Amino acid sequence: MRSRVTTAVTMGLREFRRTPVLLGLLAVLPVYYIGAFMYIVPDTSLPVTIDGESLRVPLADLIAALMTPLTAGLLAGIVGLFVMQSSKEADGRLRLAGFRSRELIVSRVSLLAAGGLLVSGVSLGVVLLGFTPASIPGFIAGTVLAALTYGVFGVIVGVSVDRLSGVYVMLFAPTVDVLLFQNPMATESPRWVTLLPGYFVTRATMDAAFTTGVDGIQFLGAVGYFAVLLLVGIVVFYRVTDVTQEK
Amino acid sequence: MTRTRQTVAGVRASARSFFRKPFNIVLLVVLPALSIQLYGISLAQFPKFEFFTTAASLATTGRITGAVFATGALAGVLGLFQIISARDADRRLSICGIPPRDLLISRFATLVGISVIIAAVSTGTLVVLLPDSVGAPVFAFVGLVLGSIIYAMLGILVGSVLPRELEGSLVLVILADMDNVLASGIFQIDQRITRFSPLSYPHDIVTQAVVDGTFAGEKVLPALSFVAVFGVLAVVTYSWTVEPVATGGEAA
Amino acid sequence: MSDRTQTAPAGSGSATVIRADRIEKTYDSWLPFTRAVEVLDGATLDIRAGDIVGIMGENGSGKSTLMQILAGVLDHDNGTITRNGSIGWCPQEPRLYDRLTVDETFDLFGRAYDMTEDEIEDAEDWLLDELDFERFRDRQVRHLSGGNRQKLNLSVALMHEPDLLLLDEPYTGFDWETFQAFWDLTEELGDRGVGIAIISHIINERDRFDVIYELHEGHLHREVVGEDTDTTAPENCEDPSTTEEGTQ
Repeated sequence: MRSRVTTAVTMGLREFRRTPVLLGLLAVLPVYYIGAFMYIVPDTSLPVTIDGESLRVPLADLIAALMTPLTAGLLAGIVGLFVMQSSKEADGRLRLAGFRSRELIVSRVSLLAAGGLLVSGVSLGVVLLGFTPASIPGFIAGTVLAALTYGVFGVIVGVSVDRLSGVYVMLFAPTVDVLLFQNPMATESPRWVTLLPGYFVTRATMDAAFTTGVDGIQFLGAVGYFAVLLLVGIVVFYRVTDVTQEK
Repeated sequence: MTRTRQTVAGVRASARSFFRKPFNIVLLVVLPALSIQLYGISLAQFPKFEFFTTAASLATTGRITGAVFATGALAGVLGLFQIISARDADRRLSICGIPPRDLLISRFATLVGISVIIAAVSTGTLVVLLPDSVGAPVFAFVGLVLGSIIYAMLGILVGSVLPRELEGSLVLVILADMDNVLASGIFQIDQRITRFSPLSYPHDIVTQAVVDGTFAGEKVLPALSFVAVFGVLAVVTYSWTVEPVATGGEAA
Repeated sequence: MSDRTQTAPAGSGSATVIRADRIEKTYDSWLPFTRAVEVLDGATLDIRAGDIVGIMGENGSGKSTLMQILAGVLDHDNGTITRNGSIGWCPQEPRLYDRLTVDETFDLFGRAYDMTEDEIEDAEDWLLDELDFERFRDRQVRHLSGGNRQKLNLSVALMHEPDLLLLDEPYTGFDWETFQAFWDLTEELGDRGVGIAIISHIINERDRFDVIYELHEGHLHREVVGEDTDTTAPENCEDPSTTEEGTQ
């Protein structure tokens, strides 16, 4: 007999497949954010500092490497938001019907992970057509981590805002974070940008894009940040879907 | 009731329903300031690489770009919301006997008014937040009004074709974002592409007003062409969506 | 419309499936200048197996709040609730997954209730037939009409054959045939020993109920249908001393 978790994840994936706005964003955003930007930026190179090393990289490559985790994070954030929106309505009833909180949490986290992998896959598929990172496994790992981090962020945002507002928060938050404040081109970033979700994961991904080594410290920081955010997300989710039956 | 009084009543009702939505007011006040400041701060972080082609400093260019984006996106999205929320009611009014053309005039008039307000808020915010003084705020205002009206027309068009708040507003914001990148002048982009960017003309008007204090009159006609094209398309699609299917017999 | 007849007066002999004792609930807000709203102020209620109980009151009197507390979805500030058996709750708004089909909804909730695949299938066949929406089984919830969505909402509450049914305005949007079918089903379940509480606005349906609770200013006034009005708490309650104050 199929478990409750498997059923819930299967149903959740079907819900995604039947949400045209998600599918539309998945089709359009990677092509626009990654492909179009790579095309329109001037054909020139610039000096940047990555992992303490001064490098001269083509601008198009820099944009490609930066926009990939951004796009994956942005899309995963919207997925996370949609997971929370549907959960707010009906997951409490599911718990009342007999789903244990642990089962529901595992289902929703699995759904988020599946969504994160999917959006990462699409984003990576677009970028690898025109750019080859120095360390492909590291670049993939960084992109997936960006997706998972922002996916959980989307769940947290979805608690207190409606779908419309939430989509806009998740469109702009990763863009402002990664493209504007974590951009390696920036030389005078304020110190507080290190607190943003994109800090470690962008540095790790940039490192993988342009150097053959893997920056373990940045990856560790990114994983740690994700773990803390995941814990917060789980607590928030549990409280939103909580029911209070007395025996 | 004469046609003029009907139209005035329509505009008044339209404006009331707009301003009674707190979300609209919040957007109107918050988005320009947020956009201008974020663009300004973030671009100011970058050194002036040789491929940056802006006349003004990056901090100033960033804030101008933020103002143009906020104005266009806001006008488009608010136009979209206005049309979606009024659609069913307008269809009903149309069945009651008010010609779709009159309804359209009311809606357009309201949106032009709202566009002017949006442009005023953006101009005021820009003047306050720019590090240097603005050469000619009135000319900057004119540029932002043009950008605002262009996107208000586009908002009506999108709202008539795709009457869903989330999907329609995503289309508009992504279009405004693409347009704004092309219009910003931060990178040298092929003119064969940028001349089709509606926001590039208002952007140039605002930049010249801020930096030189002069009016880029040659940019007005292309901007008005976009207003005309989007306006005509909006009129046609909106009329078609509120037209009653059957007109029935004569009224008693 | 048929009167609900019983061989024994309501409230005698059969087991209590749920008892709520002096329930209090206030909605507070952390925002300044907003008033706290006291919804329930010592509400007491008792539902026995086989009883069909109506909960009535003005708009905004707290009926849905009371039902959510009974179901265990909402917390209460004071008082005790004792439940004996499984519960099926049909909320006022259909809390369902918009993009799942009717079939998939049964499957998901059936698994939640720990039903086997055969049990889910049997329950689905029974309810789709009983409420006459078989031809919509492959349709997504968001594409159902209001009435059909409500049928599915009700079905999710019933499918696991609970001991107690809590139904919040369950026949919203029902056509006449479905409305009749609903009452036939309700009476059948009542005869099988299921306790049923229904929030209803429809005054002329009073004779279908065994007991009616009227919620007014946070208190429940109990009336056994067909007897003189009785505003005191139920007399023959099991486990009378679960609270420090004791029963009335």
